[in-house]
Amino acid sequence: MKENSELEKTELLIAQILRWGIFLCAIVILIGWATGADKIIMAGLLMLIFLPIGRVLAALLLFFKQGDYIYVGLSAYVLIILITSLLMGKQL
Amino acid sequence: MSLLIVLISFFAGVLGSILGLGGGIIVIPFLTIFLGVEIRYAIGASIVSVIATSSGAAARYVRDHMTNVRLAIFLEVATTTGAIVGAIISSFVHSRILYFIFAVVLLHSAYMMWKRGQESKKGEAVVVGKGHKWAHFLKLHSHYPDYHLGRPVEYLVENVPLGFFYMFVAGILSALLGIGSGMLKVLAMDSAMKLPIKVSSATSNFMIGVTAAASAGAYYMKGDIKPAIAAPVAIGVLGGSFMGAHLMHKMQGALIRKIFIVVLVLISVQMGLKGLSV
Repeated sequence: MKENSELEKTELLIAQILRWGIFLCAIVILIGWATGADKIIMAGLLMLIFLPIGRVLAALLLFFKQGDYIYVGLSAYVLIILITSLLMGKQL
Repeated sequence: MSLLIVLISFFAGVLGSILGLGGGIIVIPFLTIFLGVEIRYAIGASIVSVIATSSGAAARYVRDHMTNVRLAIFLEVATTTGAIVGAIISSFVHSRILYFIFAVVLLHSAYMMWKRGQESKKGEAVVVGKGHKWAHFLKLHSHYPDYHLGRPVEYLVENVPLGFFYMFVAGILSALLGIGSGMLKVLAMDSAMKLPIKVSSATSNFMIGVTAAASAGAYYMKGDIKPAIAAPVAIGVLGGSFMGAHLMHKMQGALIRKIFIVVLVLISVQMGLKGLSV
């Protein structure tokens, strides 16, 4: 039962991160779109791409706090793949 | 034209978050068929909108404890790996083939959804089977709050390896077609892993963004994301997905499934036609 409420607290935190993250990205993209500044739009889009990375990182840290090392490992793998994709794009 | 893109994207966002899709299913056909956008750029704009939908709805579902976070992370190992493979393949594939793959995937999904609907005529609260042993080990079994039943419903997770494989394929398709592969994810969780439809949808939403990011990074660096298209799409979808997540709570599982099937068939036909004319 204790583990259940731990997970629930984790969930609430992740939800918060998601909401604030999107809000920020939306503002940046909106400003860029309204002023016709492509560079700002691209910055906002890049932020949007980084959001899921932040999401997985948050989950990883919280799993670490819980001592759930299997899931720390799984999250770490996902994180590595995400970063690889960004680096790989330059070669494609 | 920007405004039109925002409007359609809003609609895509609403539908997307209710059905557990990324909205790319609707945005790409619209952009390519009605506005004549080159499929490469449609895919680029879509993959960003997919992240937006996913994050928008995911926030609400996670807060409402509908999402199975452990399952999502576990399956993301498969989807992101698939996405990298797909991103590499995409450089070698002609666009006509993409349209056809799109159409086939959609039809297959509609069929599987319908089949599953036939199986669970008894309703969503039935728990069958004992759960897969991997699921026990990985702590995937959980429960969710059912609005209509008014109490938390327990569920078990089955067929973990099969689900994992489906997710790998979903990852490849996501990168190839610029979609979140939400439908394939929901399908895998719903038919193979026997999760309640709302949990499948909510968990799918959570996963879509991560899968999309795994190929979006590559598309961004390749220059396939055009600000003039991607910006209105992102804005429209963000708004729509917040709205859709709010509505989803109040709908019945069976109704969600029916809408899903109709949408899939309609769009499949459109994409098939488009593939023929390219």
